Amino acid sequence: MTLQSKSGTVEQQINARLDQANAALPESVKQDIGAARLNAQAKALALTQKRTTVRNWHFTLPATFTSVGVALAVVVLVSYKQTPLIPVLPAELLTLDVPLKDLALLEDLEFADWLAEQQEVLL
Amino acid sequence: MLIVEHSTDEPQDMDSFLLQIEQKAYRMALMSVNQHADAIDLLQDSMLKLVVNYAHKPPQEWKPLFYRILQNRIRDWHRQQKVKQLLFFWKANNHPDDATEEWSSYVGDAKELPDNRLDASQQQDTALKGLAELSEKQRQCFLLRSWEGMSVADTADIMGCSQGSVKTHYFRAVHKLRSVLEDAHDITI
Repeated sequence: MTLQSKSGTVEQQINARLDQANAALPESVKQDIGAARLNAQAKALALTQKRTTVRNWHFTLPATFTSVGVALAVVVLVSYKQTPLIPVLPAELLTLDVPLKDLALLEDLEFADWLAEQQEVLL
Repeated sequence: MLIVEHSTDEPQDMDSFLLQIEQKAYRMALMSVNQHADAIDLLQDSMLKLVVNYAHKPPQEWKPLFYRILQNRIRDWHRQQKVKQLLFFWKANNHPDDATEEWSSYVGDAKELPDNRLDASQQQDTALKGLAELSEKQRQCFLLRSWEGMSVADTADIMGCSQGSVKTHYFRAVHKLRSVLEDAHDITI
């Protein structure tokens, strides 16, 4: 039996030999190959699930941060009360020279007011 | 109008596809790395990458994609080995004939076979040894083009070279294999 009689081209002969070699693989090797395939599929499944979870987090995290931010902003804005400012004295009042006569009159008025209060307390 | 014809035996789901290519892919990896455990690792990694990244692609694209991943992983493996050899240069390779042992251990024990099967086994052995004598590129090219039946364009894409290079590698591979077979069996092919 010669190679030429069995098949035509070199390619066909080599292919046939390779197929035969694969068919004659020991059972342990075939099991290893099968295990590699199953491992790859199992790992791929786990990895895909992990990626999906991470992707979901990517979608939910910005939404969470946005809603929390908006809520905080609303709380701050609502609770914020503008403190009443002390009215600024008019410049004219500061520069104005109050006459001494008026001051004496004001002191008398204050004294009369105090005296009246005291009498009310005594009665 | 462009009509794309698909072969009827093309698997439509990932399980069948992996089942169909696993042994050929293992053989290719084994021929490149010469170690059973490493070949299994490369096979598993390539399958994992295909399923995770390309399962959504049309089934007719899986084969070229898978072999491209496998060839890249094999290339990476060779690079890692080079780096390892550089880093641990004092650790001599104790068993330079490991490769031959690995190859021959999966061919079958010829001594226990009847005469007619002994001849076939010897021819098989010669063919595998012929392939082992080819350069990495020539062997890849031959296996993809001839054994896997990939087109020149797909093979070039997988190997990351031009179509002209694929044709050259293939021609040289066939030429070498022919001479190996002729020498071994003292015939003209």
